[in-house]
Amino acid sequence: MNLANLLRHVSLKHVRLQKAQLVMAMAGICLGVAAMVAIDLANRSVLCSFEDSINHITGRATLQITGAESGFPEAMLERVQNVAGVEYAVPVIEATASLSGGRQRALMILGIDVLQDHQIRDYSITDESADIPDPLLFLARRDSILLTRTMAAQEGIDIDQQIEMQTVAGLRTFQVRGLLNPAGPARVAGGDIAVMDIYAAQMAFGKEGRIDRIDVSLLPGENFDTMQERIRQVLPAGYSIDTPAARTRQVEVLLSRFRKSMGFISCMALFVGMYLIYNTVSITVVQRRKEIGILRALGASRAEIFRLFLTETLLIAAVASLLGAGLGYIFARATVDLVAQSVSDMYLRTSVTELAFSWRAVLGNGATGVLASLTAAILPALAGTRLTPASAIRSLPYSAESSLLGRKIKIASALSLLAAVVIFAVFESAEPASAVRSLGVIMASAIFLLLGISLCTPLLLRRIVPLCHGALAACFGAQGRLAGLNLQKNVSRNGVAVAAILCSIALFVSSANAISSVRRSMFDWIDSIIRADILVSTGHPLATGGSPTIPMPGDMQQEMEKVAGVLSVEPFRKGYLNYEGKKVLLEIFDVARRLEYCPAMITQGSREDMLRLPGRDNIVVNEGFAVKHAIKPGDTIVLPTPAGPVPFGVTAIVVSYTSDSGAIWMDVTTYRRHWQDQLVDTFEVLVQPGRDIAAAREAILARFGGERRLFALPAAEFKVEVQKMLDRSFVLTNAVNILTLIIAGLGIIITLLASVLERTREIGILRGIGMQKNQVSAVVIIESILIGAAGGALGIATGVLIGWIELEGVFRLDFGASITYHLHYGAMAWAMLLAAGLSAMAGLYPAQRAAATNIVEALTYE
Amino acid sequence: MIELRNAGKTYQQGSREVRALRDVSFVINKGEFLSIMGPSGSGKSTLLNLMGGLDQPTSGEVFIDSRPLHGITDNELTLIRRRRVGYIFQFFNLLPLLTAEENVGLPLLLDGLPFSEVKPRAAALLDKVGLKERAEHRPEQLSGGEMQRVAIARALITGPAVILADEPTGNLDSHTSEEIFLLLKSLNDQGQTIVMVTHDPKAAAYGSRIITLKDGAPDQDIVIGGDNP
Amino acid sequence: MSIKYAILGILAEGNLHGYDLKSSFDEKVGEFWSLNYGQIYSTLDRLEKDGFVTHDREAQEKRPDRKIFRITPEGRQELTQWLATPVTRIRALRDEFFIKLVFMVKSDPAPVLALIDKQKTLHLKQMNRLTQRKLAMKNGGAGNGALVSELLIDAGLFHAEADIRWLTLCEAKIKAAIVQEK
Repeated sequence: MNLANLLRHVSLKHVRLQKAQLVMAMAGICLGVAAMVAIDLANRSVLCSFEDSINHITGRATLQITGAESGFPEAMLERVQNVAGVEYAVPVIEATASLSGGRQRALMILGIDVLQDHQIRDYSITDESADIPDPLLFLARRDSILLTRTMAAQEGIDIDQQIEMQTVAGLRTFQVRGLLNPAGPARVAGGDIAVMDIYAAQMAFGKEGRIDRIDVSLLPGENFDTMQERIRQVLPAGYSIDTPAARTRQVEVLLSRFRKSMGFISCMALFVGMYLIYNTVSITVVQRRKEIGILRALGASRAEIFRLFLTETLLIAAVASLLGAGLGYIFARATVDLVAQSVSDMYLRTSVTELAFSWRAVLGNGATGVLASLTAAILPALAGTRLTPASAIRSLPYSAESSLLGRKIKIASALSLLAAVVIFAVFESAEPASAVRSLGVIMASAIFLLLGISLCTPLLLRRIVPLCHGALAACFGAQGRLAGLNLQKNVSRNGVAVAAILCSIALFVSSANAISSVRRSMFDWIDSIIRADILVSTGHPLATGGSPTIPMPGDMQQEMEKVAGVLSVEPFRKGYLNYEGKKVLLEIFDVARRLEYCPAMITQGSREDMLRLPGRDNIVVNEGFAVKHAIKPGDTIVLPTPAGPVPFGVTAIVVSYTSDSGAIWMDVTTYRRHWQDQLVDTFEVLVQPGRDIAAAREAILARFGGERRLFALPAAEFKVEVQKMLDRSFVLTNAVNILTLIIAGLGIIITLLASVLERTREIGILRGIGMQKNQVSAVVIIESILIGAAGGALGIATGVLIGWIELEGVFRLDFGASITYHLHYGAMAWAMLLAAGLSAMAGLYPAQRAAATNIVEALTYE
Repeated sequence: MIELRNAGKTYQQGSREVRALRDVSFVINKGEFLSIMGPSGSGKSTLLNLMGGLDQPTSGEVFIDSRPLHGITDNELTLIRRRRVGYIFQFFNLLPLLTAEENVGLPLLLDGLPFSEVKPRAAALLDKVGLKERAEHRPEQLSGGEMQRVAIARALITGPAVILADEPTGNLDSHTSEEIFLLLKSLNDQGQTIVMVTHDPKAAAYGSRIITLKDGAPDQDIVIGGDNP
Repeated sequence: MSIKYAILGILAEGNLHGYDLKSSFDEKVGEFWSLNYGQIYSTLDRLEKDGFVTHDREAQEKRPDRKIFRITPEGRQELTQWLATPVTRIRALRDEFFIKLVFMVKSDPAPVLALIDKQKTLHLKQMNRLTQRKLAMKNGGAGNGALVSELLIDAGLFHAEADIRWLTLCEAKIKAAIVQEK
């Protein structure tokens, strides 16, 4: 009741009469929450689209059996069908194809057992094709295919029309036998899916005798775990028997690095937002010091004052967070394509068709914003209650110097820094598999570091500013001297503004440095592995939206080597396998040949060790894999092959950034022996010395162009594309960084405005004794540039440290130890310019206010 | 009404101890108009702050209406301030954003009364101090004398046992000051106990009793009353 | 009458004959009072009659004997009493009070300070009375004559205020001087 009165009669006046300040504080929270909501929604959308696809494709299957990426023998199907308790077990082939005409739309091919599959999945066929559901007719014709109504309408395809598709076997013609209503599997990938009979699919996609998956439904009453065990017993090792949910989780794990780094930056954005709230509430307390004194004298208790400030913050934060949530939704709409693009570039092909709106994401992040605001407001609100009414009322100028520079702060700062170091040390010394090596831990270290440095900014300022007086006076004359003095006198409050800038600049610099380190390492690595002249594949090697890469038969290698100008051709195949529950990338190539012209980046072992790969059951693993599974050269690990588990000797450890979860290099002969897979994803072509690369490329295209659509990309072009792709994946990070800079800018405006308002009298006196208006503005602007420059300099130093932590904790965990820390000097220079420039801009309005101070009013004001 | 027993106040100023008040004992009776005089630094304001519960003594005892002000919690002290004491300050101390009426009603608003109930009482008091027409004005639109009248109305609104005034005319010219004193005097004539701190002898002369302070202790206690020498 | 006390004050510091007494008087308070010998001698005569002063004769060569004046114990008592008594008339304060200060400060400051206190209290009481009269007049209704009376009362109040301020300053400076001497 009291609180309601205070809010209505006191706080509301501030809202009505001090709009500018309020709007800026709200904008800060709003942007912070918006960033979190946008990132969360975009991430969720990508995940949801994966999950949806998996769910629609799964149908009623409760278990899914998968083997190696290249498929496993059909014979397994019968074994599973015979397991007691299995209701239905149906085979599935999943492949990708693309339409040959138009914009070469990519689609997913679902190869199924036409007679059995309706037990697991529901297909609803449109009325126009009512005569087709006869499965026998469908089966009888190998070129039968069902398209979705959605895609058919978009591509202008009618029933019974012939369509040409790019398959493993080259370009093939199919006849559209019917159209699927958007239900069940037909909803996957926004309708970019086609259904074929499994036998026809095996033929078209080079999987004769093999299937990709078995979908199993269980008899009622059967226990999930016992069934899993029973099935496991009839299958060779290396198969995974999972629930659809587990597959969703696998995707989540696959995307974890992406989600981690996005989580990291959105957390940092929130941290900066919190700083802004802290800043705003502290300043409000200072400005309303006298008001607090009066209220206390009139009989408002400490608790009431505390509650008043918290409730004000709560209301402001609630409104701002709500707006932020809305804004975040808009941001998410705008960026979801970008996120999907990043994910496609780096992980899995995805097309996000709609934004996965989730009240939980929106409200949860909004609530986080409110909670963070409240947390940030607690300290300054407490400081407000600590004022004794007698001293508050005296309206002496603010001097919290003692409290902010006091021992407690020093201790807190030292403790924070210590905590940062200790946490980091614990993180570094922990086993790779330990729970300590998580994003949360490394983030805690980074936040403690930021906190520690932020807390000691007033101290640093107090030390540094006096040193600059001479320079300031020399550069800016009297105004410079005065600005320096103001800064020094108000060290504690300006410290808060400096710390806010410090945080955002540190964030900016740290990710710039971390990203630049990753980029540099990636580029060096790509340079080391791509030494061929031309890369040949069926889809653009880096295309994401349009055509996928469809494998080619292995015997194309010999034919390609016969093309004029070609010196040699290397096959490259990639697949995934399941190692200890994790999806691991398997990269297959001709190791001996490759080593002749590529300087492999070996971190443990030697070239000779690498040469021991061909013909033996030996492999090489990348650092990420070695670290995660604690593997040294000489160890033996057991990998699942279609024919069962096989032990492989690890001969060396190399640098490879192709997969977050680990990569294994295997010689092509070894692979073919165990996997019985002759397919090739990419041919790497070396051109004879002295021959024109472009001519060789034309010759290759001319030789195979009739059979299949081929891309022959000069390696140089490929590298440029990779760089572009990498840069694209960091676009969001940069966007959030800029957002935090804006928030910090708002912080500067609020701080300066408050200090100008509070110094009304002082400015009046200065004006009264003959200071010109533009001199007053100059003082304020110089002051704000100084704040910005101090924040910038400290922020860059902090950013360099945090960037290193980020690299150690976030990236190194996935990439391995071979990433060296590269400082991005350009970004650091930009950060400094940005900090100073933004601060100068932020100082404009307060400067104008200061210049407009009415001398007479200012001097008569108490 | 108000009683001080050996009340003392010591401040810690850095490493130095400052004794602002030492062993002050006296009683203020109901209906008195007490002026407290003394040079700057003699502890006048500290004494007033102790009597009004803005501050607590570091030694000794302070009672208002036989209730102790020492050794009670901040919240209890706050309640006494809110309900039993009316404060008038040199710098008026009105909230700049609130209208005159809202400023006057603030102590009742703090007590949780709805504004609809507070408003007529505030209006009546503003009428009493001669500012009926100024109810909707904010402090910046009022003259110094008017601001102090608003502050007096605010001090009166809870019907306090005592009004404590700290240099109420320190910022006003002689004529305006006289008007304020006449207002206070008339309140005193109606039975309102008033304690006023001042270093202006003209102001002190309105009191029925004058206590002068010297170096944190009472020097003289002059009761004037009606008996002329 | 203050001349009498001034003379008593001078004699309290030492025995003097008439001529020296005049010089000493001029030196001390000459800026406020100018006295001729006649006034001095007539005052001395009166003081002698009251028994506050007595004289001895001192023989001189070629000249008549001269009188060396000396303060009697009664005289001292009279002086002390006077010094301790505040000045009742506000307007007369500076003339009379000043004389008292001249003779008190150098010896022992304690009584001076006590005097200042008493003087201030007296002034305050007087101011209070004036204020009461003013209030009574205000309540009694206003006429042209009432306004003039009120303004006169105000004048009295301002004078009294100035005196109190001056006394306060005296007090502060005397104290400061004591501290300095120590």
